[in-house]
Amino acid sequence: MIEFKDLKEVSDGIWEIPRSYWEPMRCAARVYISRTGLTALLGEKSLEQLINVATLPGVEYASAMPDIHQGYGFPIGGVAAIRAQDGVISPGGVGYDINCGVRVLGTPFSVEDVRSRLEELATQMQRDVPSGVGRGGEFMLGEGEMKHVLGQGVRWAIKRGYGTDDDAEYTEEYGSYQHADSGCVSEAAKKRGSDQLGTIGSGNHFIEVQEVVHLYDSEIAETFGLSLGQVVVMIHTGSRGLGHQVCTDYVRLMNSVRTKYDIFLPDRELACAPFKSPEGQSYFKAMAAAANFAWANRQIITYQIRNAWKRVLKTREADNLRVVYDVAHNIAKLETYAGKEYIVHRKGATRAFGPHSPEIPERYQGVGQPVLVPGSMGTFSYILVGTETAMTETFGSSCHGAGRQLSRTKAKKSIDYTTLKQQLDEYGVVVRAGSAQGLLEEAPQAYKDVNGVVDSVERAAIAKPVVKLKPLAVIKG
Amino acid sequence: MSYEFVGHTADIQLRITANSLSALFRDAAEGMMEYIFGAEVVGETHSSTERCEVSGTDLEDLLVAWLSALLLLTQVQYVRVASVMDVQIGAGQATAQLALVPAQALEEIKAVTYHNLCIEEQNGRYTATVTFDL
Repeated sequence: MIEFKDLKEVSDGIWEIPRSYWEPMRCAARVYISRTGLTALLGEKSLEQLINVATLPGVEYASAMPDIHQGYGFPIGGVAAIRAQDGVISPGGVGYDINCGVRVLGTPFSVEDVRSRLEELATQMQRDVPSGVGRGGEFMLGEGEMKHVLGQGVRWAIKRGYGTDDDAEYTEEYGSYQHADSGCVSEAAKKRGSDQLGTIGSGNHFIEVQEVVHLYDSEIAETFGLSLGQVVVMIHTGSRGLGHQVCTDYVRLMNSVRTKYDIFLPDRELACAPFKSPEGQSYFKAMAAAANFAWANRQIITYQIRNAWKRVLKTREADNLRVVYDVAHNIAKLETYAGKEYIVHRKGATRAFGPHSPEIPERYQGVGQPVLVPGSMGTFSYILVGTETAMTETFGSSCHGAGRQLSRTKAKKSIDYTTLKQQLDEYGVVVRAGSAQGLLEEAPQAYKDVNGVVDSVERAAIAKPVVKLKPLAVIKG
Repeated sequence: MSYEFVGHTADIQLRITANSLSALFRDAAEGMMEYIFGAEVVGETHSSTERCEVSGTDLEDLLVAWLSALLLLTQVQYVRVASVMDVQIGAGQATAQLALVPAQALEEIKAVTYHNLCIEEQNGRYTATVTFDL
């Protein structure tokens, strides 16, 4: 078990476990976290998981963001840059919910415009956007349509009238990861996802109406189309059962070929294969397809939200819910740094490209990419901006959210529903939840402090806060 | 049957103890179904039976394959595995007859993981702890 003395403080809030700590490590393992946060980590297994990541063939960089907590194989909050030429790709470095991610819609409304209508808006969105366990959506995708969704992502939705070109422009990878191949996705995965397009799911997925309550950088906020008192809508969801099955399929497949490639695996959930192998390429293409499903999912949900707002507010302005940005926080991307190609695995971590990155929308290139960081239910969320430091220090990566500290079981046992509901009422949050149980599991007390997470990435200069968002209404399964 | 649920930070673990491998696999299935659908099997009308056959490279992989196959059934057919009969484990394969009833899930499991999974046998008693990603 790792101890405090095994870590070296590289600079304030940046810690390193040297390569010499364990012989199989191929690089040092770095963690971005406060001293207090690090002390809390020493009692759990996430640092061991990070050390395991540093053993993967071809890995040149392994780190964890301050929202680190225990995952499967990789810790949540983990980032690994692995050489594409001779390194591996690992489904555990992406996670079961492929392209779980966040989208923020900017509205033309101030909080005064909508405060009296929040209950109606929340009710309408709960009605129009299926959420909760076992809730399918209005789309039943047959084989042909599924192939198009997996291949085209947001583009599929736009072609069918569920969005505009602008929606794609302000989505990571323009909502359509080019490496996708639906033929690499199993029939089981396609069946699991066949009725789930346009659904939120359950657990920590949500739609939240928020108010911009603080501007850290008014110029960058203006570039992002954000202003004080503005109402925004945040969507958090992913690839649903389709993505879960893709990961399941490939973790099993890669475990079955580990002796073929003579890969030392300290943890079966780190199962991997050489990126250039048939198995590695098949997973990459299946993962890209699942990522496209998630982007199409968030696009359909955007369409449903726009319709809900129009129905309630009955104003033309409700047509103008525009995408500020959409980020993936569980994905593996083929990216080039200093002329070399890497598979950058981000599992519970967000791409945070700095200014002048050609991959981000032209309008944002002068300032950098929005980094969307949801807090837990009832706490602040943040929009940050990527930095040049992130490009040189973390392979263009930053944090993704708050990170759990209480298990669902403990949350349900230790938090009182009535008290929680009262707290949310006092905080002024309208809640539409599928179950009391679900609400308890996602209570703010079950999560780490998102303010501390944002503070850590700001100190490390890998992302900069732009705006702080306060919840007004939350809709969840 | 003998199983219990153990809280895990982001997920849930099912700890199973049984007198044979086939009982372990059966009880693991029933435990998973209890988590998803609740303790009571409601409305046993219109039940159907289905044969399940999975393969794995070792016992742990076989258990993951088994539970993953049952999870898939619940999610694409919207059924609960009401009972598991005639479980046979051997030569990298597990087979069984399943009784299925239509049911509404109360909880969602994303996946069955290999996390810390080890099937141990001592004095004829088998134990395993399976972690489900929620």
